[in-house]
Amino acid sequence: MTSSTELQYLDSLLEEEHTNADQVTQHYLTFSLGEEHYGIEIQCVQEIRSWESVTLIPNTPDYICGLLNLRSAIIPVVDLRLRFEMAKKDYNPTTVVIILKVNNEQRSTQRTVGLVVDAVSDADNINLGEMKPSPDFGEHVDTTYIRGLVSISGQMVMILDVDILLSVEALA
Amino acid sequence: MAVEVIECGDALEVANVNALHSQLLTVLSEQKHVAFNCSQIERVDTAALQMLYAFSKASSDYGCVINWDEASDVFIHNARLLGLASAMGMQAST
Amino acid sequence: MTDNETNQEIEASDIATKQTLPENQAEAIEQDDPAETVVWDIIFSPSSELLQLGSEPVQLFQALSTLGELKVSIDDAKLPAFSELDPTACYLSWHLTLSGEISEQQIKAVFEPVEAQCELSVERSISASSDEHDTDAKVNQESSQSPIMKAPSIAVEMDKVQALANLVGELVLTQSMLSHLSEQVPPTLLPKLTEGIAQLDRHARDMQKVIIQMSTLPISTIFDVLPKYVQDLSQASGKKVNVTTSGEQTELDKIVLEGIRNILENLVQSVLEYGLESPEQRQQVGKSETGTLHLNADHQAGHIIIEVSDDGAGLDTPNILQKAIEKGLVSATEKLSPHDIQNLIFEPGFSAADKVSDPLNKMGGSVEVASIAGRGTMFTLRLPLMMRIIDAQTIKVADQYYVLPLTAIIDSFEIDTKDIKPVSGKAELYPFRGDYIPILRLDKLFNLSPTMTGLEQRLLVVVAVQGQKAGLLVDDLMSQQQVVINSLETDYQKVLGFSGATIMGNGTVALILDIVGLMTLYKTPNPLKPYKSDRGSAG
Repeated sequence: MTSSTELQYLDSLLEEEHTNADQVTQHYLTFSLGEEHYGIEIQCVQEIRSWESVTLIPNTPDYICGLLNLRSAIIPVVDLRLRFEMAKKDYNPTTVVIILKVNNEQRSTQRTVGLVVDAVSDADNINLGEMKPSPDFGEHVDTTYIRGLVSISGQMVMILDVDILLSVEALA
Repeated sequence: MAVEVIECGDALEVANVNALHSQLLTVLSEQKHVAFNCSQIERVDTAALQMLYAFSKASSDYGCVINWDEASDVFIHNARLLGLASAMGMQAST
Repeated sequence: MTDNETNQEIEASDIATKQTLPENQAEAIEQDDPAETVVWDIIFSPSSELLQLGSEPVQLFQALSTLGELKVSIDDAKLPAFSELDPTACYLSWHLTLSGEISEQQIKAVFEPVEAQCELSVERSISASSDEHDTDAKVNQESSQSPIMKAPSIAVEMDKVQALANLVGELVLTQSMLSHLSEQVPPTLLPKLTEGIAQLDRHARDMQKVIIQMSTLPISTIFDVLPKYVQDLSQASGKKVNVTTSGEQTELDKIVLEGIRNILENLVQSVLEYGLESPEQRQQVGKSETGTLHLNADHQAGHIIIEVSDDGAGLDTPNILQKAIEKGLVSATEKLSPHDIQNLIFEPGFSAADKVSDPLNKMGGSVEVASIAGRGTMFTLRLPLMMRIIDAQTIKVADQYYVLPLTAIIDSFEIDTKDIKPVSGKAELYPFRGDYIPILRLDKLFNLSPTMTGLEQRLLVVVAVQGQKAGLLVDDLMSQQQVVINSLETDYQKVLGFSGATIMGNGTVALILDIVGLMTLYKTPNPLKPYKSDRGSAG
């Protein structure tokens, strides 16, 4: 669980990261879903918030939680647990929503999407050279959004490509 | 003579007119026919049109032909406003 | 204190001098307002730094051209050799002839901003027609591109209009929030507050109307020109066609208008080439020799709809399927409805993609086609509106709130359960003004768990679009207000039944209903999804 002070700390980390953006950084934000850990490029992370109520959209897949009012912008929120077909967890004020900037295929436009996860950890400096390709999970699991696997402090972290994970086609 | 195609993008203004001038100097020295692609132009100002007019005069001295086909409405309209359109050899559009 | 007094004194004396004009000046001013057409000779010689100082002759001449008929010729005596040209310097001067009911003051006003940077001479012309110079074509706004610019006007960049539109959007949001707050205060306690907010509402609406008028033109500017375009094409091909239009008053953003012109021309061209048969072919199948091409334009909350329909041969569906299989777009075993197959013509590889659907998609629009072999084809283009504020009605369905465009609503009343007519166990009809309309149970359509048992006391909101009527079954009607539409499609796949979302006065997001989508949703049953019980709970 992530407390609000931890959220503030992470926000300040994000600020630092964004100001260092001109160097070619490989900074990743790691988060967890249950026992599994994932990493995403910090460049795509706009902010981290705690759960706020959303408006339900009828007849959409269950992993689309609904629409959120983020400072007068209406953004969709996706439940990553449900997206990965894991058991759903209740939402409460300690639930974390990562606000991401997702590029479309041609990288010509950006959308803002919220992602519900269990908890976030520190931003890590990952050496992509150490990243191993993800194993073939077979044809039942579509894993084009997994860039690879990396080991951090003894834990396996799956590096995700958010542009593919949250692409318009994927969310159909 | 060969035909040089010049892509003008969506704006020809005093800000980017120097670069085009240099480019056209080279084209002039090579004495080529020129086809300007101004179909995407949304902004064009006096500096640019004056320069293109001067270029059209200079190339006709060499017997080179300039093609303005499918220039955007904005381009033609502004050229007309400045009294340059027929002098530059632009066809009247619908 | 003394400062104020001194200021006032100065003002008073200023007024005094203004009021006492020498007689001859007054006369001169009168003479400057001509009632008949005057021809002016204008010589405009800018300094060479004019362009660097940011002044733009194009705008000056544009302004002149709105005052009357303008002829322009250049004087390029000072133009150096191309290699010695400094592109940022101005070497040209101009001789302009302007005719119309125009005063000298009006002309001088146009040049006022550049007064210090040029030499200007404005004289009444002695000769009525000055065709001696090498003049350019008339630069009057007679082309169909901007018919509204006869009145005095200024050219405003679209960016500025967009910025203004955004500000008005924010204004509407703020007004909505204040309105919501004020509802919680009994109006009798703070009458001025409520009156002020009502005024704000009126001002916002008025601003919105002006902005829309500033930046839009009726589609008649294109519809007026297309028939001739089609006739020219048809003469070349020997086909006979009659072009009719409707909805010419539908207003479009100028930018969208420019983009759509080409697309419509291309579309109409291919209809003529492939859709309409020759007179002989038509006679053979019992049709009149002359085919019909009809263009219609309309608004539907947040979008422009343009329909291009003909009574020609229709699309060759088997041929399209064949081509699509050849291009690898679909597999030979896929089950596709005729409608699906027909809409494949917008996929990459078909010419319709380059000329119609690609440019449309870039503008944020979309296109669909429906065709019946031997009977005809209809293309439906959808385009976004820049300014997306609509008058809306909030409704309550189960525990959710939705927003309905006011223009779609015909009537609303409490439902009388006795009058409901069930049909084959699935549909329900209700009598309305001599007709029967289907009842759309929104809670069922949206898979919501109903909060009201039974149908008593529920309201039926009768809506109509494209000639179809339906009754939406809702729990309650809430307030009416203006809302700003956020398009949903840019976020992810279109959700059927909704045309966008908006932020309500209390900060929550509400979905905006799209009647056409709802009708489709009603007709094509979706697999029912189980109700998600704790969605949206804040905890």
